Amino acid sequence: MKTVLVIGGGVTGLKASYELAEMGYNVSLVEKEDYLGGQVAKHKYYKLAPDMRLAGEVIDPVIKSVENNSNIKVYKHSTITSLSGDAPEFKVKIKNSKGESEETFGAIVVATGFEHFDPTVKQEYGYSRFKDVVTNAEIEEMLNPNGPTKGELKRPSDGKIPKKVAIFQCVGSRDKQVGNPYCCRVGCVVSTKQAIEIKEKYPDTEVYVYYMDMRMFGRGWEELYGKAMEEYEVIFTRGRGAEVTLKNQQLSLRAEETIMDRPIQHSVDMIILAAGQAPGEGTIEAAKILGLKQNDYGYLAPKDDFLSPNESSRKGIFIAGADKGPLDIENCIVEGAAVAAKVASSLK
Amino acid sequence: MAENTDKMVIDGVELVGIWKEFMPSRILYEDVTTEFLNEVKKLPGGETIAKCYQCGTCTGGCTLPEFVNKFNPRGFINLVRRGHYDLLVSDYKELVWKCVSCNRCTHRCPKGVNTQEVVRAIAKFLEDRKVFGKLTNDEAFDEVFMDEVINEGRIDEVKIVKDFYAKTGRLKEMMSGDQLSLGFKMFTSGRIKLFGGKIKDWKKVSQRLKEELQ
Amino acid sequence: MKLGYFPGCSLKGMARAYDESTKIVAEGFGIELMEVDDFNCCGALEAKGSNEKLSYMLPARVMDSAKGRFHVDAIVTPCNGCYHSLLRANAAMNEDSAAKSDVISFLKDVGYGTYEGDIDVRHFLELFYNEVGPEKVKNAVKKSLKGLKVASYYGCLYERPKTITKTGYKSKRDDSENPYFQDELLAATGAEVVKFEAAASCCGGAHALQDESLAATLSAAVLSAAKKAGADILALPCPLCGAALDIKQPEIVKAHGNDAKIPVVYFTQLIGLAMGKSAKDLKLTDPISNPMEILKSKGLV
Repeated sequence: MKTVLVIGGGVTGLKASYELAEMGYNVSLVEKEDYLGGQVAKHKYYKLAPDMRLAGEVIDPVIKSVENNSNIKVYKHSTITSLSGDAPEFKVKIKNSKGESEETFGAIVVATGFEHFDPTVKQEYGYSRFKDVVTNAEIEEMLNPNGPTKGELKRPSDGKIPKKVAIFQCVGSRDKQVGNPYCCRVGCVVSTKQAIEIKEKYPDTEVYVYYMDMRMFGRGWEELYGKAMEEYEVIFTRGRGAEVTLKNQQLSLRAEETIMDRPIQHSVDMIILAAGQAPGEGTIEAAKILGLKQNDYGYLAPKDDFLSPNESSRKGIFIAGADKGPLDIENCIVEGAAVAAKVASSLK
Repeated sequence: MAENTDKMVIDGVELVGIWKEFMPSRILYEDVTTEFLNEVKKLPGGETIAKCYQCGTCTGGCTLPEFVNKFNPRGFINLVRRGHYDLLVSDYKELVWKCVSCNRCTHRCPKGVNTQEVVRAIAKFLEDRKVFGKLTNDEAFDEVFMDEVINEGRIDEVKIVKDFYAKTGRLKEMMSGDQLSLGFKMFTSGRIKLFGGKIKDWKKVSQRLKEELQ
Repeated sequence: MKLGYFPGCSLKGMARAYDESTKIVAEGFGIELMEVDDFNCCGALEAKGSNEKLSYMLPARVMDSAKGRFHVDAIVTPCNGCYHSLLRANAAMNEDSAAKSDVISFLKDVGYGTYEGDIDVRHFLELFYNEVGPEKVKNAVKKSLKGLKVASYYGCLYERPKTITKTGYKSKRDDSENPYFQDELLAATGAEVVKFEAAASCCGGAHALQDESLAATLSAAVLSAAKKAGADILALPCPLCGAALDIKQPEIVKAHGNDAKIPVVYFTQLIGLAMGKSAKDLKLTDPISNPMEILKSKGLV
């Protein structure tokens, strides 16, 4: 049986599908949305850290390589509804507007990814109460020339360009109270990138970042952090954002400036919440339908984190990318290729 | 102290002072130890102290710094954790017990530190080491309150106030004109009762609670 | 749903106006409250600073009586402090098995021994909002409080800390940073609820005796914020805040001036007034801060 089901049309799923197809396998790619590209496409990511390369330069070729491949059958706006049988003969029902059909696959790759954390639950930040408190994903859309503001950073409340912007790190990450005690792995570099983008476009706008630790472990990330401070005068303050209030009709933030040992309060025009990653609905759903083991936070658990990182708890079902835990785009692509190799060797 | 005395002339004005008195050394000469951390951990409410990762969410949103200079829950935890006992006593002992239990810190702590109770435990840690030289108001109130609860089951507000003032040697203040006229108004309106409600069989509970305290 | 009513010590003493107005309002809207009449003190903030086990045993005994004697499904209290103690004991019993077994052995010795941390704890404000709600209050208004500007104050332990109140997670609870249940209920009486920055600030009441000047400063900040917002009166759902902001008000005004002078009442007193109940029954003459004067001038009593 040389047909493989790939669930999820984000970067990981796309890369896995392409590599498998190149190796001669028939691939069915199931995507719940009516477009490919996952979160990158959904939130119109603009530029990628650390090179400030347009996201489209990365995602478009990956999408094209899948769409132009005769070995790949793409099911958009489709979901899987049930699984029966075992490796290497899985029977899976795929549902879409045309109805439900059953297909047989030799292996399954789950690449259902993540979703941005919804900060409404962090009521102290007033995300749903104050229009000018926005998420980092919303900033991506705004900075993108194809986005709702045509690339301009505009305050949702009055459309003005903010003069003072604060960015709160670790919103919904490293936070036991919301059930996400883990690090989101991308918030630090994305915020640094966005701070630079804002300063580049609006040199008069001040940007203040409130953080606990700047975790700049990726390729070129630490250098980018240095650049933000040295060339763009982004002010990094070590202290987690404590609260956002309205003082005299103006947004006001409070945090502790831990290096000075005292709380500070100042007004800002806009606050960006660096919302972290949470397991996507698709990931939770897939785990249920396919009977896969999840970790404490809902992500899919590998059979062995060190020795079998792309195998799920169930034989013949493979996992990759941000459905295993927070991950950046660069490494999602690596995961996509890795899982393809593992699937190929298992089907031999 | 002679070597600390210095002279300085600024704009023709001669200043004389013992400089080191108000310019403390910038290097902390302290034997670091986790001894105090372990002690606080064992006190009621102190268990979660080691969870803290010093993000400052507590101090950032704290009610008190606006009113009490240098009040800093994160800072107190840090001092205890690093074993800066002398500094805690010399600079912060009069601050730690000021916490008003508004619980904004515990409410927001991303790490699950019960900050309000930890701060109370740090105050208790200092009380237990007798650094205040006398019974603090907090200790006195807790004692009076718990005695009343354990013996009677319920709180009689007037009795608590009276016992607290007596314990802290301020009974005279209670007999001031303002307090008396307030008391009179409360009494005549029936809000002060001379004989509070008794709970049936409380003696047995009281006995059991006292055993717990042994 | 069978409801046990736990008034707490304050409501049987200085805050009797809250006790009586709560009962009037509950009865008026058909909420049956069974008073757990052999209740003991919840231990307040003092027990938890003194002895961990006692701080769970005291509230657990109240809930044990509610369950063992009255067979209730939930226990309701109008006091922020008692609410905190009960929720805190429940959280310990559900999360810490050693604490749970200590408490259960204590209850077996002295009480019914039936309680296992399984009673739903409700604040009267939250219960009243969810079970009755602003719409029914609006329809029951006999005397509109139109023209009365109210500052709606919540205090601390009504919504904090969410580790035990679970605000923001369970839909029936109020917003943990911007509570609004009381605002909506008061607005339903016809009163104008003013925007008020200190609605969830701390009144300092926990230190009303231990550190009088700090407590007075915090209380003054709340009272003057209400006055600055243009309020005629401040309404609240907590007897401890009531003691700090009302009974202590003459001292506060002495130290901080007339900016901090504003009448203070329990929210249930205003709802009772709108229901057409008498000022006497609602004990509106109780507060030291004298709400009668402004209510008279607005023609409400």
